[in-house]
Amino acid sequence: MTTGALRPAADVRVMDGNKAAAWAVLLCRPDLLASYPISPQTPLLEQLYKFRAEGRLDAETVEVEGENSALSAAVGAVTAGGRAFTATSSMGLMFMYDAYLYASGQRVPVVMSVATREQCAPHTVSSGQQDIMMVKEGGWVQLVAESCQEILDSILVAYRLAEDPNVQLPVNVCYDGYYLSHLSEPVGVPTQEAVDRFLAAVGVGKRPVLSTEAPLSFGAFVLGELYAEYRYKHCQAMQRALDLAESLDGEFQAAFGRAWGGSIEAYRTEDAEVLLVGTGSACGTLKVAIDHLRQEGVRAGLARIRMFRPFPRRRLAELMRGRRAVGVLDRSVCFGWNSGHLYVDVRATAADLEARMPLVNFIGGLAGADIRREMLEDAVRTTVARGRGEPGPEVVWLGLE
Amino acid sequence: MATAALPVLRDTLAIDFGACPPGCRACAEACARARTVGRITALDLPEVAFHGAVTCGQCGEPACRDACPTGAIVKEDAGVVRLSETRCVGCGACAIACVWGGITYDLGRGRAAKCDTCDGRPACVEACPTGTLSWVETSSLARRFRHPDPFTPGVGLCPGCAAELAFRLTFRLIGEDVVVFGAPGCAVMLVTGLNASATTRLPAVTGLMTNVPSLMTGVVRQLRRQGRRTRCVAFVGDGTTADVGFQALSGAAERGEPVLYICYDNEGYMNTGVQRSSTTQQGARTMTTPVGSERSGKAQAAKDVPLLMAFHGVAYVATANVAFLEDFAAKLERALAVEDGFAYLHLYSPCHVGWGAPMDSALEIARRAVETRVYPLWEADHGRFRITHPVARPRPIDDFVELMGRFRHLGPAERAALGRAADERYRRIEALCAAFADV
Repeated sequence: MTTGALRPAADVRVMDGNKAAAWAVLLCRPDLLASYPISPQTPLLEQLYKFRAEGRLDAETVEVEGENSALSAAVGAVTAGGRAFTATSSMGLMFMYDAYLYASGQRVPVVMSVATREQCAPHTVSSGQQDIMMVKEGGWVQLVAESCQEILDSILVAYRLAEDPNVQLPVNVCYDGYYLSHLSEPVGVPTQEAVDRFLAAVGVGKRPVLSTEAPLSFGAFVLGELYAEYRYKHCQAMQRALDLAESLDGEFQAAFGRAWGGSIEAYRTEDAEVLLVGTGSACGTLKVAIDHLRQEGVRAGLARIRMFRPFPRRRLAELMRGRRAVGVLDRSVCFGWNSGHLYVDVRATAADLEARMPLVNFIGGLAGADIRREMLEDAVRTTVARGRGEPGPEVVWLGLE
Repeated sequence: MATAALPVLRDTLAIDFGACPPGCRACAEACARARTVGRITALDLPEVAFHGAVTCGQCGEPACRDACPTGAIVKEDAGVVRLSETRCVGCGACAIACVWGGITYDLGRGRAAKCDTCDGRPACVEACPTGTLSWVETSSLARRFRHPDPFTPGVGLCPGCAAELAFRLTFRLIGEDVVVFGAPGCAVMLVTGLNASATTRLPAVTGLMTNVPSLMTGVVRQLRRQGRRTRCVAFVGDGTTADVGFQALSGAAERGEPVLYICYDNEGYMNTGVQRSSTTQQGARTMTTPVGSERSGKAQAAKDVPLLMAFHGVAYVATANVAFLEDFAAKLERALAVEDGFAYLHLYSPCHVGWGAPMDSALEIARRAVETRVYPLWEADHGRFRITHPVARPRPIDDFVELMGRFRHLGPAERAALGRAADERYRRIEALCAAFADV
């Protein structure tokens, strides 16, 4: 297991994912917070405003009238040289989509957490990953956490990634709504000094900002070749973010004693005959299922995608190479591909390998539906069976078929 | 930054003939007392119902100067056409050349005599009992727009565009400690730059139509946090303001963000080719409210955005108009005096292209919009309503409507309805002034 167990220390507190995110934000010393309430991220926002009211957080707070404005206010503060944070979920993310594209295209290093949730319609206020999948092509970096500790840690890393002069991109820290946002776990809270040291490499004065001393036009109208150059550099920056995420993992471990595996956490993959691929909290259950099946001699491993955008294609291909079959767990659907979103990416990655292997997609956990251990054990067994050449549908809807 | 020369605007004597009562000679008498011989004539021509004062108009290219054989008349830099009595030989050529009757003759000394404005303190103005004569300090207006134009020339807005004029004037008044915000629309050409070329030397942000007030919120909060009082000023159109961006505007206003938001209202989506917005006037023809056998222009009345903003309870709201620059400048100054609250200016800005009018008509349309009560000039300063340019006797609505092709299809009844609507709009503001004059 590569995920860091907590070092025994007095700074361990029991908190849910939203609180863990709030503590991370507090430690990152943002200049401005802007947010609009939407379940299930709302308690995070409330905790931050509480920190502000108690004088523990010295930040501007903007109680905006909608999500588009939440992100836009954060973008404004970052444009003027500050550090900003916002958070949302589900339809809130959709409602800020024009500002979302604006933030990435203008290379604004803002950090936004997403407590993931299903999308309307039909109406639901339940966990799912459809929302972050709907914006995956928006040019942001997307980190996906599995635990409350990882939420806190990922937000610290997010600012290092976002504000790095070689990256300068907005970053989403995504965590499953309810399953993590409202689940309490022990979380180690780092010291302010340690976080300050970790973030010292980035911050004020490291990027061009709005000022009357050295005026710049922000949001210029761009045509043709220069536009292509913008896009080219954006793509390059995304790839540098991927490299940086790998190297930051070691630095993070040195600073805080925990390593997460960079873009992918590889779990029991060394001798695995079949590989499962997933992202988010359901991977915890998947690990248990794998542990259980290994007692029966099933050699399965897991590639948990921690960085969904930019997609860790090269590392995933290495982890897939030589397996008998690969099963992909999705908590979203990709309309028109008749599969989940992660599956599409894994299938594309498989094209990088010399040898073909059976691929199978499991869709489950939509709108908060249970993904029980037995369901995932079945999924692993199905993957093993496909590896032996047994036929079956490419996409299996857990609990539906 | 080098300071540009003041524009050529001079203080001048203004004469309102309509206010001059028959039989009054106060100006001529005062001039004669002050200057030995009168240089202003009180004309009383009852046969043509004319009463008025005639004096030198301080012509830009004075015919008197050109006619003078001794070079005794010069046009001074300050604007006065001055006669040197020592060089004058009393030939009278100047008086013959002046078709305005602006030169008089000092019989006693055998020399020409003419008005020199008493060097800016004319005795005639002080003596005038009716306000017919006034001394207009146009140079004080120029001093208000005292900063260099921070925008590049040659920006691709239409010739005769009122919005461009207003935009440049706005920032000539505000100065350079400012961040300017734009959004997609005609005037964004001044903000956004093109490729790697900036169009302004101000720090500039081009936002989305949906998020300008929210971007301003973030920027101004961060600047204040850094201890800066730099102004954040938006100059955006009515589509951004009244329609797709109204939510963000309302939010920023309600929160009282310390920014100045200026909407230039050309009553439609002109940058996308003249479609109706919610501020388009009733009856107006646009590409989405065309005229045919079953439709006849926009069916709905215009949304009154400045009133909506006033009812947000913000620090300062005013309507303004490029044809009334003193009023516009004063309102900009009052808006800028608001340091810790939201200020909103709604600027009437005719689009001659979209409104179907000649290239040189924008200012005349703007002027008549005020004079017909179509567009009342008012302010709500911390809740105190005041009409800043009263229109006691409005011109007929046709004087406004006839200037624009967008209303050409309207019949007499529809025009009359527009006039009644304008009158109602004006009286609504009057009522607010009466109710909230001293909040």
